[in-house]
Amino acid sequence: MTFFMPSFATQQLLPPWYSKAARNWAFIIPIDPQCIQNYLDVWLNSKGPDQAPYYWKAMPAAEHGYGVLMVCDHTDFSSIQDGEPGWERLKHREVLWIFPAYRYERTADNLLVGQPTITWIQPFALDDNSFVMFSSREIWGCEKDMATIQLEQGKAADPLDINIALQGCKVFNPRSISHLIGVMKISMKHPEKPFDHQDWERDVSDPNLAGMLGHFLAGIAGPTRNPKTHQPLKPNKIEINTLKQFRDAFDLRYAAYRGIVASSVTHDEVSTAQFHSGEDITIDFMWSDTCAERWTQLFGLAKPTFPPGYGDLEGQKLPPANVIDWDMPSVRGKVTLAVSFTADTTFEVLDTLFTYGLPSGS
Amino acid sequence: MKRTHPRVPYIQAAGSLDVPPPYHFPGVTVNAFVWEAPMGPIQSYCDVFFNIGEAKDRGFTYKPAAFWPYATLLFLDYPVMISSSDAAQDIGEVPYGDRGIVTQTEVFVAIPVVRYGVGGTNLITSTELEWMLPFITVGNPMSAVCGREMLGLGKLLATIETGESYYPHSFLGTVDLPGWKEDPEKLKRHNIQEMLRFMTVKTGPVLPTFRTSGKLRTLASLLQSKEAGWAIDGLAALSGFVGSASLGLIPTSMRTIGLKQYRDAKHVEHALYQALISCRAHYSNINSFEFYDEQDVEIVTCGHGSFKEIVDLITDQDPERKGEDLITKPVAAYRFMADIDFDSMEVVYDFPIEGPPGTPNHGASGNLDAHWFRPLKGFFGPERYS
Repeated sequence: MTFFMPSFATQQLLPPWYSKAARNWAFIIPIDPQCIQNYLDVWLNSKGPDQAPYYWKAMPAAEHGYGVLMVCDHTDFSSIQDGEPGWERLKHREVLWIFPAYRYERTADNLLVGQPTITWIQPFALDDNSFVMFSSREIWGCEKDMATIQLEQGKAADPLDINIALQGCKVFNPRSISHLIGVMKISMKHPEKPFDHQDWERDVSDPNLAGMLGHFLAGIAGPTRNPKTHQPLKPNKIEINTLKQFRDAFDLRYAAYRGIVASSVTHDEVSTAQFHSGEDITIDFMWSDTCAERWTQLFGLAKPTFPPGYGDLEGQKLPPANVIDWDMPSVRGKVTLAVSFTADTTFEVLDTLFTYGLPSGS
Repeated sequence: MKRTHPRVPYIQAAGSLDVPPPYHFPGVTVNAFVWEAPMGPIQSYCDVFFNIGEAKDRGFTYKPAAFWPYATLLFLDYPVMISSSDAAQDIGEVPYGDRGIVTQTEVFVAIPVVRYGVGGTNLITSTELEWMLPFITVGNPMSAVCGREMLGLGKLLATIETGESYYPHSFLGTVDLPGWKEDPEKLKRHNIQEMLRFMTVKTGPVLPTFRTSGKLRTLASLLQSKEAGWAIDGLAALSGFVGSASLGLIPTSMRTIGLKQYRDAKHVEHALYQALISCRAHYSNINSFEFYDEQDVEIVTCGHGSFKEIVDLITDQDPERKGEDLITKPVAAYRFMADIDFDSMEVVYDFPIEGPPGTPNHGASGNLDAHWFRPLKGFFGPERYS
């Protein structure tokens, strides 16, 4: 067996990971299933020298035309590699864009067989802790980028303001200087009237949304204890599939390793779950050249109209370091509704589903 | 040695923030501090991270460079970082070199090691001087990710501040890293991670100055002589030719060596890829070379908690102590400006992998020929790495 040689630089946060009383906000956003299929075809369905024995398919619009933008505030996050929480304890915040997709088994003859498994895909992830970012990228292949995630919240679940930024360029130009630019602004105002049962029924009268919520809530908000016996029930899990790949230093167009990893997220001890009307929520996607591809391809957003002279770098002035530059056009996304909740969350790697380019017999 | 596993295309997002090398860095300010390196821990580091497996199988052995038993700490301020790839970038987007520039600071410790070829002929043709970087931090997240995932450099993301200390033309540099204060073995768990001061470097003014704290007696005083000053000027002018033979002070052409490795996702104690990666950092247009009085330099490192392992490796063998912090006194300290090109990435040796079923298994491959020998080998019998 070849053993990994841990060093000061690779003393990583080894999974499974456990987050105690993590605060979560899930914003349900409509999305064209074609955006999802395009992503799946490039990242999970494309061939290497061989083909994975799986095929990922977007759930059609008649089923679910939604994705979930998750914002998670982890205040007590640690590794349970040695069996108990508490190793390498840290705080971090993350922003994830996730959506469900069907995973079919595929035969060598390219036939899809059997009933599909519902898996969740994370094409876009940000984190404000480099230790978590490196571990996510290098162990299970989640291509997280480092970000600034500011969160301002009152005592109740709303109002809420989330500001997200990363290092990038507003405009691609040889003279542009990379700096801290806004990525997203999320605002949830205190509702004028409580989001009551009728609102909820009205919103989920859309069968697509009901189906989407059903899948999502199965992973987070199902009863985790038997209400009569108070015995813990087996919690539901969300399965996540990621493409793990690293470049070959000899020829950077190729991967030294490329594989597909299956992981799971389990929510336990769910509390303070609350629904919020989409009418009380705004999400502004800040339009920079650094983020444009993500907004168009992953969210299906259209490029905004730029004011005259925008992008002229003559005499460009940057804000001080660590101050977010919000001076750019934005596109307002549509939020159908949101769910906020607190939960103990466990993340674990299930297995490597497929490794590309394995010699036969491996 | 030929590759033993098939090539797999890397899936590139057009908007990816990870910019592949080569890079061009003009006008870099370098502050450098040299101290005696502990040979024992460096040999142990070589044995763990470079000399994996049996010497007869891999064909080489890394050892500390006994002729230059020093570690060099470098603080680098990059005003401009540019992607300089001239290769076609079929990413369907704006080429990386046209997207803009990045500024950042970087701090690393470089220690020379020699790769000795095993066996009569290999001892000559495969022996090469390289620099290991057991500690490297950067201020830009994209740089950290690229260094780790493409080059096998264990870059950590740090908060790095540089500027002047109390006196004009002096230097003050600090490095803050995420870490844990307490020894987890004692607590049986960690306290919450926090940003901790890992290192502080403080100097007096550059020489000549009347503010020295003691009588000059080492390298700086030698080079204060007119003759030595000419030697340094000549060195700078000849930097394109002298390669790595510049007394070790100016790393005009520094080939780094690092172990690029990744864990198996499920069996995290196993590696699914291990390779020695070498890159060239070429320093040119070297100017404004000035010495600090090394007796005025104080390098304070945090030698406890989660930093203890690395501090034990990179500091000198008998440092002074200030509480739990360690104070290292350098034997030379200087600064200069240079243009730096980072290029010529190579897989020196791709270690064979034996993993659990369903994980990659492949044999060894690589190119161990020393760089000086490659033109000769090509002349007498071309052989390409494929």
